[in-house]
Amino acid sequence: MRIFVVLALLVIISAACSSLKLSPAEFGWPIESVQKVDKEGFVKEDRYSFSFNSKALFLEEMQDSMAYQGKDLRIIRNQDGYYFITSKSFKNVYIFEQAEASLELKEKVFVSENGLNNPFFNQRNPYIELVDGDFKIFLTGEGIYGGAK
Amino acid sequence: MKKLILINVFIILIASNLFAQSDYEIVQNFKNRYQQFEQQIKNAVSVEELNALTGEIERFKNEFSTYKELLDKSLYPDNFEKSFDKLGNSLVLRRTDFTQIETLQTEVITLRTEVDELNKKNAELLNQIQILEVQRKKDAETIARLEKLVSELRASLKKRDELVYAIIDSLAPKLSGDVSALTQKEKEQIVAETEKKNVLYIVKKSLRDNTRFLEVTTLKPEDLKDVKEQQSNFVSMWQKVGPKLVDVYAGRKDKAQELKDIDALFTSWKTGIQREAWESIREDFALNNINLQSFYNGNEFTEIITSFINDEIKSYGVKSKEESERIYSVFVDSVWYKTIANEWMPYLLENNLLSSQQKDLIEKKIAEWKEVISPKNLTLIYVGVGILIVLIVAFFLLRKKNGSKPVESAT
Repeated sequence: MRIFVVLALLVIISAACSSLKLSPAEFGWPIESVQKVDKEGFVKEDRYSFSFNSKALFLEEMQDSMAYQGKDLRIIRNQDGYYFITSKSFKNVYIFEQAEASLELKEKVFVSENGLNNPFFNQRNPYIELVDGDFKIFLTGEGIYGGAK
Repeated sequence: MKKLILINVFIILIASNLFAQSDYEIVQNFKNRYQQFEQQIKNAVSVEELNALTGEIERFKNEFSTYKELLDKSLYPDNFEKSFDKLGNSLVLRRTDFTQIETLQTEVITLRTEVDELNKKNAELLNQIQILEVQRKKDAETIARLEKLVSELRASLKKRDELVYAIIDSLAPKLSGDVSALTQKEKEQIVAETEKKNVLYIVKKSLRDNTRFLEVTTLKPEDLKDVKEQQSNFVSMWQKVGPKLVDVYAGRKDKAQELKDIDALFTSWKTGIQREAWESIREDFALNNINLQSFYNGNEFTEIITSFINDEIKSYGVKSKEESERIYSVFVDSVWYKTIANEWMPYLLENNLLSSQQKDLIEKKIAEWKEVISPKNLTLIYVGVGILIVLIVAFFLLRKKNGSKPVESAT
């Protein structure tokens, strides 16, 4: 009986600890960040003290591990904390979530058959707007919201 | 709830269709225009230009007020209002600069008038001094008048130079940074200001007057020390702006030549100070009717002095003894020990115009000359020794005489 009571208390305490949640939390960036990829494939965002290596992203998109050279990446974070990344001539928008010392792909969203010409993101809470000329879509952490315009 | 989200999406879609613009581009555009205004405020050359900018900044603010919310979030660590407050403060500060510049310009105009007046006065004094210096025979009254005029002129030149320093100094703030980084417009502004203040002319005039002052006057070592200090101050002051003006005037041959002239005048003044020491020394000999050849450095001085003494030694016995003794007395007692050794020698040694070896060589030569003019009189020594021998002989003779007398009496 005693053992049962102790176990029950432990379960209650551990449950109370794991359910601690600070909300609401807002992770959205007011505007996208346009960053040049350096010669090592790194992208560094000073305002948010944020950097990552983009080689794998270019390999995934272009099947060329050196394709990052001289490229810019357009990055924005939505209010839920997902990172949206694309670039000129990309066919996809990549949605990442933060993981331990890494960004983990959550969704790869196909947006253009021929590749984007001049894409940009806008923060349109609760969505991320992707515009490329007349092409315009809204994105969430799950993918496209509302379809292409 | 679902209805609310749909309305939200609908509003966003309409707004997005109206303004299919990149927020990033809007912020970048704002930042670029903002930086341009900052630069324009910095480069403004008049209050009128600043007034025009105030209006433009107001229009810029109105234009972007639509994006205030976006800019508030994006202009971290500033925001929309704070950014315009900063521009406003820059405008106020720049306006203060112009007020100060206007005050300084008024001061410089006053300074220039004073410089012109002092230049006239100095020219008159220089002429009067030259007339008196030309009179070879100087009575006490003339010398006193001359000394008074020289002193007056020196004070006046010093005062004029201080005014010139103030005018040069007024250029220094604009030339304090890296001149090569100045824009063409900024360089033109400095050129205009330099021309307006007539800086190159007044510097040249000042340097010429200072050199001429040395030419027409005979100075003492303590006066020369002052002049040297004055020259050194002038050089330091000119160093602040002179080399930078060369860059500012690059491409303008006439002005580049004027700057070269100024450098040459500085060199001439420096050389003049050295020459003045030697000329004043020569003048000290000349005042006592010992006319030496010109000398302009320690070697020449040593050579001419030793050569003069050698000639005197050689001619001893050829001309009258009295004349040789008179020349020796004037040279050594009235000039060398009284003026040169006492007054000039410390200055010459201190300024490395003469080495201690050269000084020793001359003094050795003077001692040699003294030996010829008044040798130690050996006759007296011989006479003295003779008298002493006579006295000793007499003493022994007397003693001997006294010692033999009792023997005689005993026998």
